[in-house]
Amino acid sequence: MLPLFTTPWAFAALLAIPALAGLYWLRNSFRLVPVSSLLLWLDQAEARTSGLRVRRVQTPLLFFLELTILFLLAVAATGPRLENSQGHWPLVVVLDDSYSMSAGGDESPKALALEMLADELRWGDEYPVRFVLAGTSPQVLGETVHGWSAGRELLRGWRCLSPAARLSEALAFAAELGGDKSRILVVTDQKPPDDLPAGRIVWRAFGRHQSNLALVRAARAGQGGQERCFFEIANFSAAEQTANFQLKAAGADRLILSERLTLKANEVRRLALQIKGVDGALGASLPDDALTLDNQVVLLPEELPKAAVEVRIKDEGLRALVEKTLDATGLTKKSVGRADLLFTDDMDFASVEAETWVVQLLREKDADAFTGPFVVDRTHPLAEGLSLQGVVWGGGKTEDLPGRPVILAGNVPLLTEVENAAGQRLLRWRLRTDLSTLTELPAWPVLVWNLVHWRATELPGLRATNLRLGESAVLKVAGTLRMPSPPPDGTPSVPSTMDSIVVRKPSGASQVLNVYSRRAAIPADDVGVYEVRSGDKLYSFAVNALSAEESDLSSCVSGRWGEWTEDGVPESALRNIAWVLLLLALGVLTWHLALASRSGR
Amino acid sequence: MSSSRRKALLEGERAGSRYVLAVPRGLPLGTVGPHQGARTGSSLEFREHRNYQPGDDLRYVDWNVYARSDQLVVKLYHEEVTPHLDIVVDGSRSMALAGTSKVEAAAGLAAFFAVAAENAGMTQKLWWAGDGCAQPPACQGRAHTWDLPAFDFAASCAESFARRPPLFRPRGLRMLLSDLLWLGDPMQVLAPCADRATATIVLQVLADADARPPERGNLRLLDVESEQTLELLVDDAAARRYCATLERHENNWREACRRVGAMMAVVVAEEWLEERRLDDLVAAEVLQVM
Repeated sequence: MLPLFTTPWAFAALLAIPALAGLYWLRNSFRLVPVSSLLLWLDQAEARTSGLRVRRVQTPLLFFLELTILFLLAVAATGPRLENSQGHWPLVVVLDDSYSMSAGGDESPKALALEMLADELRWGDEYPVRFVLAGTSPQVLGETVHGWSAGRELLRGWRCLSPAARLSEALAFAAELGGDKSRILVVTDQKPPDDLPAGRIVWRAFGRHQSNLALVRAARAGQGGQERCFFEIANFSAAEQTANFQLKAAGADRLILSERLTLKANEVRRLALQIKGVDGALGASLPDDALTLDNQVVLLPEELPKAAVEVRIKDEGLRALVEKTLDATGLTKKSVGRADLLFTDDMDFASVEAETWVVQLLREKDADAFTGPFVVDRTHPLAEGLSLQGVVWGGGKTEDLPGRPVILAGNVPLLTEVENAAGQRLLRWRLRTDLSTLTELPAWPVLVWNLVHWRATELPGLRATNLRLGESAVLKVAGTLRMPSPPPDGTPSVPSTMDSIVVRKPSGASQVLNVYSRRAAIPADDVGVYEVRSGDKLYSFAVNALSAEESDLSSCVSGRWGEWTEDGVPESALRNIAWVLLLLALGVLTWHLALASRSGR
Repeated sequence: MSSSRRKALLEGERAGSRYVLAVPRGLPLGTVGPHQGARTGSSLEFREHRNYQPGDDLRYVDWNVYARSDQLVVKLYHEEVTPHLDIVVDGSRSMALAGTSKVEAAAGLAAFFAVAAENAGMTQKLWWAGDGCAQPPACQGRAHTWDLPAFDFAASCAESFARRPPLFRPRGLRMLLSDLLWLGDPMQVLAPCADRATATIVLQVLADADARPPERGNLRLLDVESEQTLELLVDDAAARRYCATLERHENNWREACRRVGAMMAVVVAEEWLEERRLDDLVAAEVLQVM
């Protein structure tokens, strides 16, 4: 590997070499002078300060020694430096992991980038290479490798399935990962930012402008046989395009809709459809084009579990009000056996099960009618969309209500929340309906709806069944310990506790994930339908590539920006070898002096 | 012989005609002649008495002294000689250094002293220090008629003396004309010159290029005698050392001359050819202006 030079202009010192040759030539040019006798000149050769006797026979060796000394000194003056770390910089390759990299089939940016990396790393056995995937967040791809053979295996994990490539974050991460000594190679299909640091980063883009018709949005809502689907189809092209849009019931392979769409340049077409009688998945598709990933969408039914609610309120008026409000939410079902949510004004509720949330309505005698100001914890799920303006809230007026306050009137807590170690929640709700206008105002149904929805979302099951690529599916599991029955389909058995789940990806690969606090987050990093087994229950969610930025290939470019230069390499990454050259020059100089003095004798 | 050398002989003869080579005072001159010798001889000029020593010529016993003192005393008379000058010219290549006037100066000086000796009533003989010292056959008579040999001896004057020394006339005056630029003991030449000589004069003939170091720079110095070369970077320091070496060499010769009773003078060829004056020898009364 060639060294770098701090001051390459110092190579001008090499002009001393022809100067030396000129001196030697002049020195070996003699004017013939006949003399009567050499008698008077014989002692001149013994002098050292001048009148040196010229010995031309010494010229070749001494001349070349002097040339060597001059060369070494000139090169030393340029400040030659070699890389540290066994003489080579580490290379950190930042790989654009967004799915636009797969556009174009065999000529995709990813394929071209792999060819480039093969060339780059084929002879790079001497320096360590690390790969960083630039997705929605930077991620290290495997361990350090040396050379292409190991790198090729590692790059199988470069799948280009991220909905975005945050290259700036990945660059910063790569710089931290590689340290001061690292070179950074960015492989992408986008052009670099204007403030690309010089010298240390090489930016390689392999993208090209292509037309693409893509599904950029898709949603499915509704339950019970009456559903609505919503699609957005974008034409990322400067020309009009026509395509056939199809919607099928995926499980039954039944065609629901086939429509020929003609989209103008850069047009985004929205389709809203009423769907009936489809319980399973819906599949929407467009014909294959440059990017196939955004031509398919799978939508599963969105199902929010209903909470089993029990009302044990002695005050009939209040009980009727609560029951009426609960029915209005549409999120509840009658409790049969164990309740998920219990409304009660009883002070003794120790007999309820651990999974039942309790809302204790406190009708204290020592109460007051509060008109505000109300302090609301806006981060709490109960406070979403809640407005207490104009509300008169009647309730106890002591300041010592246990639990974390959610709503206060001044320093008097009106609604508090307590969660015990088993995950059971107790909400204390001060309410004197005879002193309040709360039940007559919109804040009342908002509070009840928030309460029921919060409980429903905390029930076991998936929170969402249709996700975008890169999101995470959140699964709530039951907190009860029990032994599961063996899965019928031969997938890996779930551990004996509910603290683990098994995820089967669209590719067929299975993965066991741990559950913390009865909640598991499943990264949606592949397109298709995921299956999640939690105990005896099986859940499914669909993941679609719905990112307009990635589907828009009009900004993709090809090119190379930046060079790895010495300016970009920190001092700590280089080792100055000028001292080596100076030592060599000193050695040759000593040799020269020894030869000269020996010849002088 | 070249015209320049012939002209040098003529000019030297003309210059020497104004001078008389003086015989050093108190020096014996040898056989019968117009000059009183320094040694005892057979002239009529009484010198001194001394006790008789076996082998003395009984004809010089002073019988009157014997009669008065009963001691044998001999009378010594001054020697009466005709003085002679032997001129030795260094015939080595260095005397014909290219680009200098050493040849003309040497030839002119030889003619100069030949004429000055003639003016003093001396006989003279020219010796050519080439491949051995010999008398050039074409160097008889008047100096301007001489046909000097070529300065082509590829060795020093000492080597020439070693190969065949000149046959000097005893108690004669000897003169050596040479640049003296060779490495060796001066006595190799001075000893034969001073042997049984009345006086010996060494005249160092240098070219201006010998007396002054050459220009600065890278020089390949070619010894015209040995044809050896020496490559030197000549700078001011080297030039100073050259001058110091030349001075040391001259002092070495002066010291050698002092030891054998010889006299030494230095002549720069180009300067002498301009004025043809030898003030040092005049001051030393070796030459007298007529």
